[in-house]
Amino acid sequence: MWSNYYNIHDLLNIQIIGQNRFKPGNDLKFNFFKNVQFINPDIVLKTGQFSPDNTNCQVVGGKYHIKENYIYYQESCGKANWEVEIFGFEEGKTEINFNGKWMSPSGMMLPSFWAQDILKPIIEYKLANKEFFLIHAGSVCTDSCAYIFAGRGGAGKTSLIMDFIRKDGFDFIGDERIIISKEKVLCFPMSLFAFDYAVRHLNTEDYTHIDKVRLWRKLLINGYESNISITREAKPASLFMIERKKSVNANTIELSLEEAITKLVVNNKLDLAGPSPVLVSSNFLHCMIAYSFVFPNSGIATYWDRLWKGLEDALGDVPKYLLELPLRYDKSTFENVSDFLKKT
Amino acid sequence: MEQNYKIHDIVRFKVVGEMGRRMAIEYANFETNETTEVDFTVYLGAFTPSNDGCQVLDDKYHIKYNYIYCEDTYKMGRWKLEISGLESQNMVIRLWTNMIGRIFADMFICAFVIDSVIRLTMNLKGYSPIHAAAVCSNGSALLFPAQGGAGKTTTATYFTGEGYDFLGDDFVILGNQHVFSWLTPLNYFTYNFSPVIKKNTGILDRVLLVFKNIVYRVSFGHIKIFSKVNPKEVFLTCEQSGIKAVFFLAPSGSFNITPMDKSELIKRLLINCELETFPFYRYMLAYSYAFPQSKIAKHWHDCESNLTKNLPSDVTIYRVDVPRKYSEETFRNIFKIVQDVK
Repeated sequence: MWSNYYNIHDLLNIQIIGQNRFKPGNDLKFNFFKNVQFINPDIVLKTGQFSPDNTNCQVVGGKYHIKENYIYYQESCGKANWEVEIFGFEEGKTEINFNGKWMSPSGMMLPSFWAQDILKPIIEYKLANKEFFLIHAGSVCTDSCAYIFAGRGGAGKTSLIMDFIRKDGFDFIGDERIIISKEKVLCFPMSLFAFDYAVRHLNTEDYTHIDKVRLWRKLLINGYESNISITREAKPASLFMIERKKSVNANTIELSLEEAITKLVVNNKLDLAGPSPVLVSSNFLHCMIAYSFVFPNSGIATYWDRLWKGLEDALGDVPKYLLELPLRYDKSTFENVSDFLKKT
Repeated sequence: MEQNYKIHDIVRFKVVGEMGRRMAIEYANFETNETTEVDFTVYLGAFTPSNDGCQVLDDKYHIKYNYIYCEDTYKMGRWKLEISGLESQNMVIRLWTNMIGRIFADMFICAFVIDSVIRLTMNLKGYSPIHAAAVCSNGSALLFPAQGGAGKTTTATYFTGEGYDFLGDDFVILGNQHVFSWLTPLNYFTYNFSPVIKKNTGILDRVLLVFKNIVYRVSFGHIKIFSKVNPKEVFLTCEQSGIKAVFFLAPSGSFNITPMDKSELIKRLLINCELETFPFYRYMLAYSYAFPQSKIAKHWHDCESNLTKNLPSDVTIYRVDVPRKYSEETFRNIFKIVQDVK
């Protein structure tokens, strides 16, 4: 068993208790926030076998065992299956018990690694209670101005962000997730070491099997050290929603507040709506809806409305654009975007 | 092979292609010879999608204006779904499913796709389909919204024994402060094989039920094949009625009854519908991402407005906590409350 603590910008403290002995890579997702021990962490995640405390629960959808401030369920997808129990689901200190089996080499070697994905929506929910919003977006900054790139996987966020870092010397704030509040954009790098490796050694964000093997080897030898230039906090300068379109050049269209915020909220929802054997948070929306059904006035039930209002507040005055990238991303694509950014 | 259907004068649709028995039963009470003004058409079977020029989200959803195409799976069922005309008056749906999907057509074709589209269409027209059982007497109806397994079918069955007419046990439709029937087959298994259903099932079906129960146990609960009976063969049914009272059934430890206010009921009805709309919910989300100002994006918000206008403002509403093991005593307790409602 191993136990580490992580501090998210002094907003949340997390303890992760992993099964078996610690191996490098086990806490790759949150390593950036690694910190000293806390007496009372806000979230505790314990991985490994457990006996659920699911007596006196209402069972919703034949699957979710729900009572006040508690949920338990079993899930399976592809060759993976897992069970989760969350105390303090809605408020107060959150304790998560997670037991999962993945029939894959990395799944069997590092079960705690895959389990940690469940922390994403829990962190998202708890941060919102403090008026900070974790969104599925990346960001780069220069002169304390953060340019936010949001969009679905495969839209081109990461390629753009990598090029802004390599070619225009921007600082890194995030490639997958960032935290937004009124006036602030905070970094939330997950697997920073892997991103750093990709920026230095790969042309795109796509790893081949050999790349992955080299990455893990470097991790084992050098540890998590990464030299990428990171900005922890900056002011939001503009928001780009990124989408792929069959066209020759990159194209920008202004977005209304309502369009942009709706897209950002749905972007977050979609991450929690689709099944995935690897991202264990990916069915979390369904369990939030199940909990909301039993407790329709709870914080869980009102979460998406609060996210909407919070983002509207945070990004009200920031210019917002739809950025359409051509199907084929190349040097000129980046140059188009870079030029546009410099003009705004 | 093609067949037209109409649900009251609210929704009309057409299905073209090979329907298995389990699917034909699902909509048997809506068969019609009228072929006009169809809200949507479903073509079953293999097809080539017209998904050129689409934005692809998550390597899965192909989306362009008024259109979505995707391939999806659930357990061992697989399907390919294309919807054109998402935002216009007549939708064209093409749906292919694998063998498992065709065998369990009531789940993969009806519940996952067609029923979701029916409910979407109803809401676009200002009606509110709700996940509830309903019975009526003398033009005034009792509604029993609840999630699956709470006792909708059982409650409705008991009430028909007391002389009430049957409006539905799974979904019913609210419109202009009235409730309309939605007569889909009763799904029965061993635990709700009540006397009145038993009377209407032959030897073969009873033997099949025993066999299905064995399959259920042997598969540790993974394979649950419901048996179906047309409610019109079992009960006296009714087309529509005014609304007298709503009893929201919540499974819990013991029997209890408390008043509920309209806004709380609406929240629960809405969330109950959301729960019933997976996986179609995901397709709506993907389309909403690409078109955030579309009717699809505003759907759940419009559902809430429709519910507010379709429920009478002065309707009596109770929350009824029912024990997990629903017994005759549970029904007697509910029946007593109903007598007391003016």
